[in-house]
Amino acid sequence: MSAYPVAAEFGFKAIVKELFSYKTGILAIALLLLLIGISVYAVVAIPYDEAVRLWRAGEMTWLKNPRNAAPVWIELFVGKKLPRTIILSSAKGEASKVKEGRRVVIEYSFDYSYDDFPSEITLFFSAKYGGEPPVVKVYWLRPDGEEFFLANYTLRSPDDKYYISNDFKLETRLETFIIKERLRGKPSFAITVERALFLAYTGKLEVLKGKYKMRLEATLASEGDDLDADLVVYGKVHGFTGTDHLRRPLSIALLWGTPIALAFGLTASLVTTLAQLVIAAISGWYGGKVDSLLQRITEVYMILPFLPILIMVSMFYKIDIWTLLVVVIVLSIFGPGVKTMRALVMQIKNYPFIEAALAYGASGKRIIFLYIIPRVLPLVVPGLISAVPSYVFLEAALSFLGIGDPNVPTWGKIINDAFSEGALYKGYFYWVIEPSIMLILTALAFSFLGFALDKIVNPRLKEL
Amino acid sequence: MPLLEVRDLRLYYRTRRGVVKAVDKVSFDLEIGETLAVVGESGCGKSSMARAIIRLLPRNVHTYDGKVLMDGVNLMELDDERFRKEVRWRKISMVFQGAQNSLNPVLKVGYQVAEPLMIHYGMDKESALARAKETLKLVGIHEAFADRYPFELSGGMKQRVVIAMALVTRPKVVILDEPTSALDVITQANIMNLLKRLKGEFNLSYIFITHDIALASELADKVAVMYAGQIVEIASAETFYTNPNHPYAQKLMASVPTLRTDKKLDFIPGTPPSLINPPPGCRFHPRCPYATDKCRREEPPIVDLGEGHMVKCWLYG
Repeated sequence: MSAYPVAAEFGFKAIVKELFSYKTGILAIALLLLLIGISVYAVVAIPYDEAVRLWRAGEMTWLKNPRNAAPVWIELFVGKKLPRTIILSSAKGEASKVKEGRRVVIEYSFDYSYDDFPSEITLFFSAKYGGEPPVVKVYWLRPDGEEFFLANYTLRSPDDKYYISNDFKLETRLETFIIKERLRGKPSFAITVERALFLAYTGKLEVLKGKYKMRLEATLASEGDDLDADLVVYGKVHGFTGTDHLRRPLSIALLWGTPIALAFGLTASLVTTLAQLVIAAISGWYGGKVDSLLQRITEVYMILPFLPILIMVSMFYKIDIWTLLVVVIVLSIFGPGVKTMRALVMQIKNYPFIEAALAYGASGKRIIFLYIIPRVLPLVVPGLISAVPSYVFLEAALSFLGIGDPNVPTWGKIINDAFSEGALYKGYFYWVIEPSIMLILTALAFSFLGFALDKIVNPRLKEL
Repeated sequence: MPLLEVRDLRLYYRTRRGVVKAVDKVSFDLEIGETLAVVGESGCGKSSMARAIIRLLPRNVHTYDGKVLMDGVNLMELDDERFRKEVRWRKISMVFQGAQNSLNPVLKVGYQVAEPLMIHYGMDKESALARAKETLKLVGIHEAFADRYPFELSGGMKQRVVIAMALVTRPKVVILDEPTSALDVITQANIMNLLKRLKGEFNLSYIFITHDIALASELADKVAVMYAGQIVEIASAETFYTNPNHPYAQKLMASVPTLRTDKKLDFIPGTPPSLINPPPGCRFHPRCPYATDKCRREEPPIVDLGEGHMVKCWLYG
């Protein structure tokens, strides 16, 4: 070892170390780690193709999810226990099934102790038959012992579904029965099928808790035939994030939106800032005609209408997220940043050490990349970091305007869906809040990081 | 044959107020191992001359001509790219005014000293760094400092690094542009001793630019006095310090305080002339006690008094 210890109180490590001395720095790092954690989890747990497939699959994939179900944590605010989705499959042995010759009896039974009515009830058949389809009689047994005959249903295909909630004849029948025989008067609420099946006969809109049963009595055309059925009592909450109008769990888009937003924001910000820096350095260093040309280009670019051009591009070309990224970068390269950075370059250009470099024969390229850019970089980095959320927002805004990648699940897509489905009007506020929270977290993480870095690399700000 | 011959070198700047004649027909010779001290007031064109020799010109150059001969090549005829590659640092290097600012703050010291080697000799990083460390040792800086950044060094050390930078390619001529102006006296003395030692070791030729006549005497073999963009007297150090001939040089010497004799300091009346519109005839005549009508009309010739002693004055013509 040499007699003089080599100091290392600067550089990347030191900056990270100093970051931890600021509250904003710690918060920023915590938030960033959270976002990165979510991204890694998303990428590992749901491969990209799978995510796109799940998101684009349509309603068939998510048939057994409730539609527009709120996230589970909504109960904290509602103060009621909201129904979860109950799925009972006879094929999986979750219901008792008895087959005697051409007769099949399936009996489902479940406890229902929620404070609200289910959103839908559906039977998913899966039958095996050669000639005539099976005929199924459906019975409903309430905890108070009352039994409803629901339907005498003839299957139209082997995987037919009986949408009990949509059976209007049944609805009218049950409604009339309940009003006449049980409530003896018209209640203040409408009686739908779900309500009729679960209503406590108190005159108020209350659920009768207890053990419910559903019995299917099927008659098969021949002994070789078979019938299974899944009973799905759709809840009103689903998972941690809820579902959208296509029954998709929002978690897919929220999870996958994170790496996409981070990648989009970081790449756009990094490439734009660095490109602007190089342009500014070239413009400031060479001066003269080069400078005039680059500055005029910048000025023209700055007045170009950003959105209309993007809309035009998206009209003529198939836009996916990466071409969108390229277009955004191309449109922002000659941004106002070029002007401010050029001013910095002009200042540094006249420093003696640049002249010294010039004297010992350093080329223009060397001076730009080894002398000027490293000097301007620390001043630019906080801005670069703080610009990340603006690009994330831009992507969301573009998705919202429908100029996004239609395939990729992003936060902007969720907001777009929510908006076009009138989420706020219908009270599905979680649908808007969840992606918004993610956007805000991203913005906060990068803004805090930017603030903290600004204090570190531009120490004069500390005094303010 | 002298190592460096400068003939009629002119460097004019274009400004809004007119053409500044910063260097006007300057001629001198520099022998191998010789130190030429260029002295003069601030703004008399000393630094501009240095820049003209190493061709570090600002954007607003009006006229730039004359001859700079070295090894039989007229450096003025080389194009910029060849000049950059063949002359700068290979033949002529320079130590700048204010070493504090002549180092790139984001590069390690060793790397910066090694940089001219990588640029000019295409050396790889390792060997260039090794050579840089050697040179640093030569100027009295421990090689461990090669891994430090400029801000970790003191002013004197930075000056040494800048000198190492100028010497690492072993040039024949080193231009020292006020190399000690921002240093305290002790450090100044150290640096001067270092420069003296290096000169002996490598047989270097210096062009030592300073406004400090006393300091110049430390190093100079020959002294050139500049006034208003022109050299008015060149003489060997001995002659100059004992018997300056040009009235300006005489006045200049008389204005230097001495340590042991109790003399009244002289000053030169008036102000240095504008370089945009210099006085006709001899440029010193408005301030000269011996000025005649001839001085006011005609530019004096350069009079050779023998042994390389030249004076630009009508008193000797």
